[in-house]
Amino acid sequence: MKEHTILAILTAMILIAQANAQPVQGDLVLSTTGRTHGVYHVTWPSTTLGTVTRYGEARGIRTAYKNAGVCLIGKSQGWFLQLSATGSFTTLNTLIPSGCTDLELDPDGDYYMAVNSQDSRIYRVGAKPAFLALSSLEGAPSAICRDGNTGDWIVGTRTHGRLLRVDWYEKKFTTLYSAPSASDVLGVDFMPQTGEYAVVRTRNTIQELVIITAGGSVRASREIPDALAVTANHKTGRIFVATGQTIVELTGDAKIMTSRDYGVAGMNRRFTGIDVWGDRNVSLSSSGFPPGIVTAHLRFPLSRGVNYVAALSFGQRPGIAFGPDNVLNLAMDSLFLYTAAGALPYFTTGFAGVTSSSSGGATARFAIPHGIPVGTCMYVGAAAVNPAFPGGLDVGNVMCYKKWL
Amino acid sequence: MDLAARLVSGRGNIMIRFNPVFILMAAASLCSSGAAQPVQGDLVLSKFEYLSTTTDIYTVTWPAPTLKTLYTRTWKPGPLLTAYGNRFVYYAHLDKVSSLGISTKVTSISDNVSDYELDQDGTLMACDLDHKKPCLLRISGTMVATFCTLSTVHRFLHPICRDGDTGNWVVGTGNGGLLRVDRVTGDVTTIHSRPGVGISGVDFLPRTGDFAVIRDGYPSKEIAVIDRTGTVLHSLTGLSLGCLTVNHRTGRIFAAGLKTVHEFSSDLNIVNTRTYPIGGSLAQFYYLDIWDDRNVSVTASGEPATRAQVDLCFFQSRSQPYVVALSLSQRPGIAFGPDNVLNLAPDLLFLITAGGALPWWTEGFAGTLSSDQGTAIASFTIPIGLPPGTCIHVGAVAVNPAFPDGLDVGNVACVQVQ
Repeated sequence: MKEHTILAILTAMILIAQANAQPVQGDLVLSTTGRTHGVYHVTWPSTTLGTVTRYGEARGIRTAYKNAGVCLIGKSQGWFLQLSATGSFTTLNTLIPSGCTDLELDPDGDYYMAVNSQDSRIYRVGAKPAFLALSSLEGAPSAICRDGNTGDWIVGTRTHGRLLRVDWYEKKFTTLYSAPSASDVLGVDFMPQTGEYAVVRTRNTIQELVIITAGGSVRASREIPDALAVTANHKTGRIFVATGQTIVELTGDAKIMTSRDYGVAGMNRRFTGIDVWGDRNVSLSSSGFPPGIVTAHLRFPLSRGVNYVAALSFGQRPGIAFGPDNVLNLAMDSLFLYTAAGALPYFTTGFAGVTSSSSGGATARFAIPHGIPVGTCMYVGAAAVNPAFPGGLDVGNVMCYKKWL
Repeated sequence: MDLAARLVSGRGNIMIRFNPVFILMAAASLCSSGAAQPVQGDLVLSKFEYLSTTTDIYTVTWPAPTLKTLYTRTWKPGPLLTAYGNRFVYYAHLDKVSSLGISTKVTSISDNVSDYELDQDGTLMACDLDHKKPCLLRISGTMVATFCTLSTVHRFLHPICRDGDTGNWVVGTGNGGLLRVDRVTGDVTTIHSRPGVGISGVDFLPRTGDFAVIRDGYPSKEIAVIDRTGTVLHSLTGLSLGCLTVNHRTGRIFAAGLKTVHEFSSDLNIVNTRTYPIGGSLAQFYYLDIWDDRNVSVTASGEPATRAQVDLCFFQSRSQPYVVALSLSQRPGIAFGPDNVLNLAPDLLFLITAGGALPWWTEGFAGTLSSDQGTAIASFTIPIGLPPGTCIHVGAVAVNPAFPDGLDVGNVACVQVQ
């Protein structure tokens, strides 16, 4: 066999191996529709997409509880599947009416919240029987994320491009933002570093990214043709928008930094959802009631067998920067100082320790302080000591716990 | 014109306003009732008189030579216990008697009930000495339910106290057993056994963790201190005693029998003795407790991360500042003076909770007592990560220059973690 033939085979094998490599924490992960649909990932800003699976024509995607892969919504059927890094599927539910377009992880760890634009309903979806969270919303809900500021849900609609704040426990909603002209929200995500919302929408036939403040005003916008989905990297504050076959990286001010086109002639696939793989380093297992113990499941798959610390705070901002792109979104307030790294025994447990050598997991718990008013949000964050990361810390996301009762 | 008519008529009002005899009588009555009211630290004793149809509750500011009558009733006498929040004492089967001597029915319960103790959830535990079915009862409001039934081996179940170290129950039996009853499961273990020597009184000694008991029938001939392993550390014979209680603040033991009250040190040296002329020759003291020694009462399920409410009542320190703290142990306590000890160990939990140093998880751990009753409410979140059965001890003090060392030291309540 000639040398160049061997070289070509080796190159092809390397490319295939790269393409099929399992996603790692921080990768972008995308759901697609089209003839060559599947779930893809990319170590940004690599020019090559990896394949998690060739199956699953999906409309939406979110990182799963405890970083156990992602959850997908079926394009035309009502299925919800959980997909692991190795490409194996687990069925969560197949009983939800078709028409769901987006989902978000519920902080209780068992359910996803999904919006259905066809019947204007929000569903709680899980392995347990799904049930309706709200009977109906005004306007077809099309996108959802969790409001990291308040613990409520932020729902985008296809009527007037509204953003609604939905109080799940009280089962009522308020309008956070209403577009002045015909608009259709396609995707929304929360930006912990500013407390704002990154929204992808269609407005008068133009697709754009807008940054909407917690007060409901547009702070910045950028036209992005064919934009369909959006996610915000909690650690860096960067925004990623998925268009038909392109991913655009923007700053928190909606300035374009990088753009990558993953279109391949004849592939006929279209990105429908985008998220950051493995960005659930911290997952909670409580919806905020009844009072009791909140368990925070920590999962740092890239930091196995290393020291970790966890802390609580009453705020996310200003976060603690361990480097320009490595921010723990916890305010250094008195609650933080009380609880950081387990400084508050008896009321916090497992706030410092060593992650498991097999999964990078750990469990931290805290007793909900009864002395804080109902409606108060507490934020749970964690970081693992890992010299391979900027600042020597593998910084996790921050979860909002809202006291309901 | 009858009295009622006079009271509602103008002439009646004039009479009340200007009749000097009436005013003097009213004033005397008010002074008398005020003086008769017991104060914190007083002994409160009940009387039993064979063949008599009346029974009394007395109080005495120890070691005063004279008793004050708080309450008189007709048949029957029964157990006596200072109640939650220091508002009253539980008495007999089952009333509550206030500091004004006013009796209110709580519920009706068997005459076989021989002693009471308060649980951490605010319910009342009772010993039923029915020799065919000895059992512990739980009284919640007006509801009475059987908590656990003991073997008839433990017949004549009589006194009960709470083990301040573990939160479990300690009961004495008529055939010489000192038993520990698990607060949750009702499982019984024997601390000490001396067959044929009945136990008629028991209380917990927070300073040492031991138990003071009266035994050898009724009236007893022996008072003893038994440690947690069942070893008799001290004993004293030759006295006629029927009931006892422990002053948590001073560590002194008070025991009464026939017409005499004795005060003992924790190693059973007699410190004081008083004999009181109560009733006829067949009258004797029946039960005793200390008035207002529930400065700290806790209501808690004990489930981790749930809320525990702490009711404070320092009647003699009204409008004064107070502080609350938690600890995982009662010993060594914090001594403000030889007879003034807060039975909380200054451990890590104490340091992070004392006086409200831990906001959010503790609430109302420092403040000012109310001006009318000297009350306040504090609360805390039950810690997590502690093994079930662990006790969290809750104590409080009020700042009061009138007390030794300037501190009105409260009792320590125990919450057993579930």
